[in-house]
Amino acid sequence: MKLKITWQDSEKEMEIKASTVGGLLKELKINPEIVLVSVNNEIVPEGSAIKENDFVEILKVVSGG
Amino acid sequence: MNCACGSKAIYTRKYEGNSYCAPCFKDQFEKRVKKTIREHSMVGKNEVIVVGLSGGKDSSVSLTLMKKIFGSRPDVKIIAVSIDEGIEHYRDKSLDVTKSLTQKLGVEHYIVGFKGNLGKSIDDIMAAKAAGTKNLNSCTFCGVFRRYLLNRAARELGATKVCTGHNMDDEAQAVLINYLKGDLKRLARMGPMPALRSNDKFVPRIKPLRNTPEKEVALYALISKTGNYWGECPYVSGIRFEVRDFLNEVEAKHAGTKFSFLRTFDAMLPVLRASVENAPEITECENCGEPCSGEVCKVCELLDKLGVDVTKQEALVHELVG
Ligand code: SF4
Ligand SMILES: [Zn+2]
Ligand SMILES: [Zn+2]
Repeated sequence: MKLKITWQDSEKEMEIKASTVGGLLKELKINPEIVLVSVNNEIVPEGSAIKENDFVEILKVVSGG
Repeated sequence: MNCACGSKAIYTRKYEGNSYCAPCFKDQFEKRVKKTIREHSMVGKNEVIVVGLSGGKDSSVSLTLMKKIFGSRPDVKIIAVSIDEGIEHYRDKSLDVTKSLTQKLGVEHYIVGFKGNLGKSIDDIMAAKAAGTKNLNSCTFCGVFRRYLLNRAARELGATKVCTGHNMDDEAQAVLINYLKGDLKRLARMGPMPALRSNDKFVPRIKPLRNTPEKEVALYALISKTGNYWGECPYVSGIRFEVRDFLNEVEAKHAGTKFSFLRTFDAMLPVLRASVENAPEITECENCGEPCSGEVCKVCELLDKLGVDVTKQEALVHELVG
């Protein structure tokens, strides 16, 4: 399915197989420990489902400095 | 996925298996911070607490919570101090954020600069590195100078405690790095409360976020709209970041690893401290008079590498911003 994904300052439309937030992170090879995810502007747990045309923002939460 | 209260969950704590809605998460988070403060008697009566404020999520959350918890106590004064390392396009932006935060919270706030007090900014040091004149790691200078200035500023402001935003991840990383480097002395000085041997010139440090994972601090910052800066320093480098990634990889596969790692360390700390009991007394630096464990302190040693003379010990230059 198609998702709009924002990650590290870039917004992309991507074809994704996963059906949950956790699965999506795995597919994108992003460690869930270092990010928070919002779907359609709401922060959601990793177990949450995602569906066609959702707008997913991935925010990196670990920082240097 | 729902919270125990029935509302929609926003977060699952994998290491305990519970999911939380935003209000319940906030509540849990604040309870844990209060418990940390209480358990280690971090705040007593008649305290002046200087909170180190960079504008990042950790220090912004720690200042917000200290103010929330102690703001109504007439015998506790909270002051914010920001250190300006001089990193363009990064610290200047985060300092703007600190100013709005302290204004919003009504907290007295000072900014203390590397350049004005030590003669060099981190940008200067990195420019020297780029020019090939010196091979220097920015984070080494940055960490040593920042701690030094924060301690001195706190002392000059009459502080009884320095509060930093170190979270559980920061602490676990620091412990592991000292293990890897074999630095027992420094390990013995870590832990939730300051070590046995101290010096009047050191203002004791407290870390109320020490038992909260970095990701949860970020979540708290987001849902309470603390208003912090999310940018990353352009000079990020060194072993800390390798250790950070390593710990997070293990944590992702084995939830709770960071917790148990830190708990184990805390449990060993009394034994460790007893065994380094014979470590040299804290003395005062021959050069600048600040506390240190050798003849010359680390700050003077590093400044010497940069060709800066610091024998004079004047009061710090700082800017009162609110
Ligand atoms: S990443 Fe290094 S240079 Fe940048 S602020 Fe942190 S300690 Fe300083
Ligand atoms: Zn709830
Ligand atoms: Zn010195």
